[in-house]
Amino acid sequence: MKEKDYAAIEKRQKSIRNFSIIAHIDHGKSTLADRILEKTKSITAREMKEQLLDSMDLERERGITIKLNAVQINYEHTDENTYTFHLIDTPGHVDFAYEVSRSLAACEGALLVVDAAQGIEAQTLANVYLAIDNDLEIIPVINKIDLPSADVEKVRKDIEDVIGLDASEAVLTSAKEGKGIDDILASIIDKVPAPQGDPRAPLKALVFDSIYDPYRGVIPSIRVIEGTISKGEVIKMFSSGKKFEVSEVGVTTPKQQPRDYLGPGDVGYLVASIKDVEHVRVGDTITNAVHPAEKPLPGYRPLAPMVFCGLFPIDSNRYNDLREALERLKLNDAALTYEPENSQALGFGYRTGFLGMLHMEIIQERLEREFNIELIATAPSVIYRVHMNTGEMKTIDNPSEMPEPQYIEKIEEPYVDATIMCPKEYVGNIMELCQSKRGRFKNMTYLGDIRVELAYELPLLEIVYDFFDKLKSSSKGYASLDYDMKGYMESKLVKMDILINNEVVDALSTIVHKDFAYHRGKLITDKLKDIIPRQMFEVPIQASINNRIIARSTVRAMRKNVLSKCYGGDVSRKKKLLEKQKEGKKRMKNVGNVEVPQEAFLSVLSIDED
Amino acid sequence: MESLYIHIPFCEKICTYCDFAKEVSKPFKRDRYLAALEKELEAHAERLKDLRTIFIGGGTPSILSPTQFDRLGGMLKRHIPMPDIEEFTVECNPSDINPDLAQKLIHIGVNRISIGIQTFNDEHLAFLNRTHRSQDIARAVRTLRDAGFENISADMLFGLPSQTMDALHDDMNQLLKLNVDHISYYNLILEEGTRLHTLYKKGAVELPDEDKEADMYETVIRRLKDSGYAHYEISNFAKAGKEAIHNVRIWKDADYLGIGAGAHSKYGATRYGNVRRVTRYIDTVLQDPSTVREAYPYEPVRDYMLNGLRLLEGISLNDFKIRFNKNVFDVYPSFKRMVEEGFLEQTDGRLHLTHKGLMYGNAIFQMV
Repeated sequence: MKEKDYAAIEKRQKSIRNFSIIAHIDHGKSTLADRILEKTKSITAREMKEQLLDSMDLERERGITIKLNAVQINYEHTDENTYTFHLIDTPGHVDFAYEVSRSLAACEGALLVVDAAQGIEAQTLANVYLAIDNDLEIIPVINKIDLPSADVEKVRKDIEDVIGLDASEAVLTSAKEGKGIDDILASIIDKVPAPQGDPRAPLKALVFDSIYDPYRGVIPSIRVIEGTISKGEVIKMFSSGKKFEVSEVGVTTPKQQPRDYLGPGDVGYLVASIKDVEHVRVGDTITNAVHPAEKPLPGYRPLAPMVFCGLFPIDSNRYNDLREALERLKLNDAALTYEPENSQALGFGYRTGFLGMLHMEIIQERLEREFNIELIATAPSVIYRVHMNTGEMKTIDNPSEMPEPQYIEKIEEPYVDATIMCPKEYVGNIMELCQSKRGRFKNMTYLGDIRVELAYELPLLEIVYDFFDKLKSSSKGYASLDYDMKGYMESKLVKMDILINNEVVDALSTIVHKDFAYHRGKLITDKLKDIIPRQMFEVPIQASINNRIIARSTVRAMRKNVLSKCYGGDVSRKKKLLEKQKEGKKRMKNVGNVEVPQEAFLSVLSIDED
Repeated sequence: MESLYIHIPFCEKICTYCDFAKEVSKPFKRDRYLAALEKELEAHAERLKDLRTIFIGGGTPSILSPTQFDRLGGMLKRHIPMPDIEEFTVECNPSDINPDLAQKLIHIGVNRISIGIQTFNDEHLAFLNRTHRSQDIARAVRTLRDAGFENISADMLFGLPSQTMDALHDDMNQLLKLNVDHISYYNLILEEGTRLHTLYKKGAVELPDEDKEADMYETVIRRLKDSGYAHYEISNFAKAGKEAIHNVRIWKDADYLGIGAGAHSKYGATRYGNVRRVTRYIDTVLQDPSTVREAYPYEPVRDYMLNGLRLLEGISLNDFKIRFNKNVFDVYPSFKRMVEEGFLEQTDGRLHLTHKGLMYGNAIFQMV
């Protein structure tokens, strides 16, 4: 192996700047990233596609970044030095807060992009605080100054009052029109510190993402903190102790470009024939197997799914396709788990685990869109601890596995420590919301004159349901939520069954708090009554606990389904109409002789409590 | 074959709900169209030797001038043994009917008029963009009777936008006063591409809900039965011996020839649909009548059932067996459950919808 020129590495290190962009949806993060790439000629016009960093269709449509991306940019500054930037993209949703924190940990600075017309929005806050926690230098950028409704001074004040950052030197830009991009690049060079880290020290590289390549295996995205890494070296994963031989290291521009080595501050990728995504955990530290570092980087947390739901193909013949699709998605997504599940109502499917609701929605959507598998998803659940009379403890993530109540001594459910930040005028609304979600008030702190921080203990289940949406609507979008797992606490929980046409539909069973059961049972049966189309006979819909009916509603019998028109001998018209009706039926599941549409199985989730 | 349908796709105005082939156009185009019709008729003359029924529908056949009716009558005479015709129906708008037209129709051999009333409510008539108003209707029927027509059918609609039950009773009161021989009472259907559909999508009109439509349908059935009309098909009612021969033949899966724009035919175990656009129809037929129709599949068993079960007498189990060499219940095992649950019934060797089954026709047709 070639002797490393540490002096050159150290010199180069001084010209590296690593940064992320923090922005609310629609505030122009992707456009800004595109302009930076354009300005620094990182990609040719032909390669330039709209919003390059958000490469998945789904991301583009939802305007959010799910998969992290990093790109190396070379920039010739007016001081005639060439600088190497690494732009590390982050997802923007609380489900992925951990990944965001790891991406930020790979940076020394962050651009805080705020829309000049909209001001600071709640979503941005949590990520800004994550950045501050990671000791990042934050450069405020006020974007969209070309808009007629732009109010730069107000936004400046917003940044100072709400976040507490000095915004006097905020960069003013219009990413859409390409204005102010040079100022951003200059300010990154001036303000974001060059990476520290001793190239001679044992290797410590942070894993902040990975992709799966069918030919080369799992390819981690890494940020070298200390030491160097090059081809031919054997590396070790701190969390698992697994060792791999590096066959290639390189940077992303955004194409993969091999390099001889990566040194402190470098952001790039490595190839080491890693077959299993399980071995490349985000937040893990990679070290040299021969000269290992003593301690890993701080902040690693194994990703564990928090939310579970059953996924069933509408067409039961596609069970194997579903399995293959999940296998494929899993290659790129360590947080996704799945195991076979069998439902009386829905047949064969998979019990699938996710980081949170957005993660769940994204996976479902990808299964439907990329793999063309129409799905029925059951209501999400968390992991319960059921203590049996015998002293045994069972963990349950599926309501249908709940033991009969007479065998249960107590049930515990996961709680989170939730921190909610909001402008003070919404405190009343939010406290009311937390109360209705079984929250336990912990603390309230005024942050300056305007903002308040509320601390609550909340059942994870309630967060999983619709807490986030409710929080948004009760604060006009200004409240932000961050939470950490607190642990398990005892709760008065019961399993509530739903009966359609007098048959228990296992896929509709949920676990609810006893005090909320009647109310929720009523809401669900009413909602199902509206969703289930009228059949040729009357269909009772009941909610029951312990075989005792607690709520009931009825889908009245269909009155008529008849096509009276003659169509002048054109039988094809009539046939078309019948086909259309049949097609509609195919998307439904037959449960107890009743055609139940897909959305019914999610209705238990989206009931409006108001 | 025994049945001929002729389509006249011309209208003075387009009805809000109509999705048949039709257009508003200048009278001279109608002459070109008649020329095309004759060419098409001529091309099929061989098939028409045993003809028993003729039905001229639209569009608005009564829009044709007396001269044009003469021309139409002439071409029929040239290609069809007119004395053998048992039933010859022409659809007419009430506003078009006058003694001269009535005479002309009788002269060319018409013996049955289907009169497009739809409703007696002037507001509804205006909304539907019909040419007539309620006052025209009774006068038109009297004119036809005076001319000697003994077989008059009324076309009616229920389930009109914002129609109330009272409004339906009003319509029926006036209809029953006319004492026509045959009534087709259709549920208004929202068809894509119609003005009504656009308005509905925009939320500009409200249609009665399923319950109300069901109530209306039941009211129509009950009142017509009470007034001496036999309910013989989902939407059709007749006084004794006045069932529409032409339509009943089609429901019984007989062959028929349709000529004109958008007309459908069935013969030689194949179905055909003609070009719908009038200009293209004319140009194509004048060039080569055989290219104006496109074949589409005839599914013998399914079509037999879809049509046959529309009739309240249903299908003959024996006839089914003779035609297809199979038992109905072997072909459609789910029918056994339908019988058990009272949607279908077996009476005197026939399988037919019950009153309950009538209300859910589509659910049963879906099994076919």
